[in-house]
Amino acid sequence: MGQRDILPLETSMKRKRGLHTASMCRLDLDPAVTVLKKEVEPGEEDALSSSRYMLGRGVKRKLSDCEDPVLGLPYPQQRQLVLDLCLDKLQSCQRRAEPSLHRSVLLANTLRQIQQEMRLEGGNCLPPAPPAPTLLHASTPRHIPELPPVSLDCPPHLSGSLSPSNSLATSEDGEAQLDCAESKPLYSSLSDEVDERPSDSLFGSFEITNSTSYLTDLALDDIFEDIDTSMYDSSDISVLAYPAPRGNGVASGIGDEGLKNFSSCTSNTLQLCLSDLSDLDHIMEILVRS
Amino acid sequence: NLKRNVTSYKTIKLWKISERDKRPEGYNLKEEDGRCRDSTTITTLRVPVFRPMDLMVEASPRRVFANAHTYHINSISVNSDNETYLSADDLRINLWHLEITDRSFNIVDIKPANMEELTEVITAAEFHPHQCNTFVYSSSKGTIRMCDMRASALCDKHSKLFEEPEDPSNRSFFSEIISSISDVKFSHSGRYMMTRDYLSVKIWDLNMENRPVETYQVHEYLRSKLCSLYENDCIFDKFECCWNGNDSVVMTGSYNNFFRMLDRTQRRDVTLEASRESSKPRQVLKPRRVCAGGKRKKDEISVDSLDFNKKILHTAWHPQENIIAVATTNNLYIFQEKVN
Repeated sequence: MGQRDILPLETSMKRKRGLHTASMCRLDLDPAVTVLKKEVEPGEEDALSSSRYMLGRGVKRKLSDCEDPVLGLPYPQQRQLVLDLCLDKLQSCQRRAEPSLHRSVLLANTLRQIQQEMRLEGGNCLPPAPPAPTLLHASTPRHIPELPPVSLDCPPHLSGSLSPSNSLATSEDGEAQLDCAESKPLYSSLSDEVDERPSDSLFGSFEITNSTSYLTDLALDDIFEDIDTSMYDSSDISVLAYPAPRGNGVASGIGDEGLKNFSSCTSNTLQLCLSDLSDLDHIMEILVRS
Repeated sequence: NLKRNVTSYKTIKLWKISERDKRPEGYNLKEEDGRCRDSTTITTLRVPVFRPMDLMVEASPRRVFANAHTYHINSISVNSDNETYLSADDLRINLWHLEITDRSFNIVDIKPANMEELTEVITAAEFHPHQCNTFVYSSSKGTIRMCDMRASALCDKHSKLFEEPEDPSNRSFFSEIISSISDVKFSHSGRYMMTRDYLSVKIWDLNMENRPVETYQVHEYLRSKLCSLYENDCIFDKFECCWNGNDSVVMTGSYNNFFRMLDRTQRRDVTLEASRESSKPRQVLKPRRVCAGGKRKKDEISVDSLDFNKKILHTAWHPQENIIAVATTNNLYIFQEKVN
């Protein structure tokens, strides 16, 4: 490699786009932004007080220049930091217009891994008692989960204190300490308190929808349930929904299991057919009349 | 004339790219600016001729392959048969014929019946450069599966699974995230494949599934910064990688508009920068060094001074020549080897 000289090609192409004037993205965290607002129990020093990542009074650790400041924290606090970040990111991921399934899966796995670790550690100290009601109300709005329960393998001795569905509800503020002296469970089960979400609501909202593929999300059976379609040859009707058999490798046309393969209809025709709900009504009328 | 498959989330378009450097002049019925000539004023006929003009590159869509993906498409790969290609999203891989736009075959589907059980997604896929029945796909857990389309219509069972056991000494909260493979590329020879994860590039021998034959650190100095990179989301950046024409050098991008060239045969590597300041015409690029710790030498840049907004995710190497293309946020840089 040392023997090769590399220089710009004589002509270079440039895309004319406004240059971002985004603030420089550096490793240093903006001290003005406290990502984590933690309520700590009285008498306890907030590990993330104004001087970032400094421990409590007088306990300072000299870090080498290139280490992450967080590495100066004791392990449980590092873990808590990552856990909180994870939840923040998962929630903001859900709120995006085009959420990334890849990112959400990675975050959920990280979260699960940390939770399992915490459970196993805290599990030895927990009495099999149901969570105190006060815990449920102690959560900050930020911690009220928008996330559905994630099934985890639950150690048997915890099953009394945690709901079987092991909600993704986070640790309560102030419950971050992993002292075995803690008598309350780390994660109260909020699944009784929140609506049961459809099972794939965490990852189920990622399917891309637009006006041409919205049909995959509608309950097509409901729309057509009063229409007797048995007399119609399925290959002539391109808008009816058939559950495509999985794994048969045959041309599956539209992405999800909702729509049947149509050999007679190009994607353009489908777009024309299905661009509006009013078109759908129109189609229904035609089907009923004919 | 080139044809290029391009994807944007869920629609695939085939574009024809053509160059034009001549245009016809001297029509009889219209002026050069397009206005019609009054036919009564024409007394002689002439034959239009081609005259040179400024080079114009045109891209026109030729095919639109729509509506086969409900998740974000991450890869498309044209088969060596030049008739079919695959497209991959987070959970599925579809096989297309280049001439047929309304239909595709689903060849991989990892969507679980219960989405709550989803723990792994597809991150990249590519056809083998010579064996038209073979393709690979990588996952967010750092595994690569090779599939043979002759085995069954739905390639849910892999013929090979490439996975390196985790190094317990490097374990952290972010181990899984940084093991997610962002790109997989076969060598031109077809004997190896390369994978890119967050911190490294790995070369795999297709005959050995249990570990890569070579591992190169792209920016090891970031390993102790993973928490900050997780916080600012940079840890989710997806870098690509590429081979040079004879598979002796691999290249990938990094931050601060740096990109790395790793010479497999000479066991050397170099870090270069793609920026206006360092890319004057005919100016040889100067190698860059990042100071990972300790005293910073002259000309070195410290890790904390790196600009993580300036990332080079896409790089390409001409298959025959030593010409490379490097994409920064707003610019495309094309470099060549200096010929003495």
